[in-house]
Amino acid sequence: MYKSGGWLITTTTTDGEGNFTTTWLGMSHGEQGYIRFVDQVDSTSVIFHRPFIDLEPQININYTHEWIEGNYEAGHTLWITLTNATGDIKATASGVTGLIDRWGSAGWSTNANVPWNGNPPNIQPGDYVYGRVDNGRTGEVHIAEINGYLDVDADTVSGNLIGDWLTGTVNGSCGIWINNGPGTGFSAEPPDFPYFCDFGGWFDIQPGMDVGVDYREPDNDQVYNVFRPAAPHL
Amino acid sequence: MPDNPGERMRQEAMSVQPTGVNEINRFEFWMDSSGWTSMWGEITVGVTVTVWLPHEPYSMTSSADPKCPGCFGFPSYALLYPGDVLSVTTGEGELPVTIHIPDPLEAHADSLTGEVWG
Repeated sequence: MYKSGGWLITTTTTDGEGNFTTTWLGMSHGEQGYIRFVDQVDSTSVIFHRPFIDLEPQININYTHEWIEGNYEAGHTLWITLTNATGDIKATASGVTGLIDRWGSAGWSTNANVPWNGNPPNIQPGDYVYGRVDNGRTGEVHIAEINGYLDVDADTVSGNLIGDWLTGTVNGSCGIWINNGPGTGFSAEPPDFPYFCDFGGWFDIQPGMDVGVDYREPDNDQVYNVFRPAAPHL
Repeated sequence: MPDNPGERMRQEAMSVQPTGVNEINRFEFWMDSSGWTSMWGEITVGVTVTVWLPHEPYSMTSSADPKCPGCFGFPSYALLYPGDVLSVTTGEGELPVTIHIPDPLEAHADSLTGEVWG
């Protein structure tokens, strides 16, 4: 059994019917990995890799582009409820987890197989997202604000995470959302949770590029905001 | 002759005699729970590998990996599921390798208990 990226966690042996159970000490919420086993067909080694993901749902939210999604094993019905800060329902979404073509793996997305029931909502900081899976697993995210200032000349983005429910060090990252675009991580500390991402000297942020900033909750749920430097008026 | 073109090609591939020259050393699968599957492996340098699939498209032909002599990979993914049977050929004179995808083929994880099972 391997962790994503190829780090061996442990080896185990199946019983007479091919079943196995093993332990991954310290497995994180939302963790992904794969099992690997070898079959022999004549002189050919046939090697199978089967990925797995934690049954506890991990929820990713982009409140700029108005989507909510996550990786999950295929074949589960999943329900999403979005409420405002006082608990009023703003929108719901539901569907069955399965292949997301552009990911090349199973999951769910309000842009794909778990669509909004009705018009897509305006997701805002302060809102709550609740997820429930047909196996009884649930997840919840209280969306903090990611404010920011994008300096195209200095190629930096900086700001604060705003949410009085945030505690301790909050890890996050900034990324240039283009093919093979660079990214860099940060750790934001209380009480103001400032962050600063410096691409100066190694990447030139151009007008019109999306710069995504995200923070990660302790259970690995993620919240994104997206900043875009204005393109010049021609 | 069957009407299914993929089946017809598979039958023809299985009628040739082996020479033992182009044996596939290694054939690997990455099979997601959604059925999304990528395949790659290792064989004699310069040999074309064709996999005959149970679902459309019926076949895919490998391309060589310039960074790894003898390595091959298929440029697109296929949808494969537990219980599927596929055939891999390496050209005239070679017997196909028939691969059965195990059924069931499952892996699950639970961070609450720290268990992985399947």
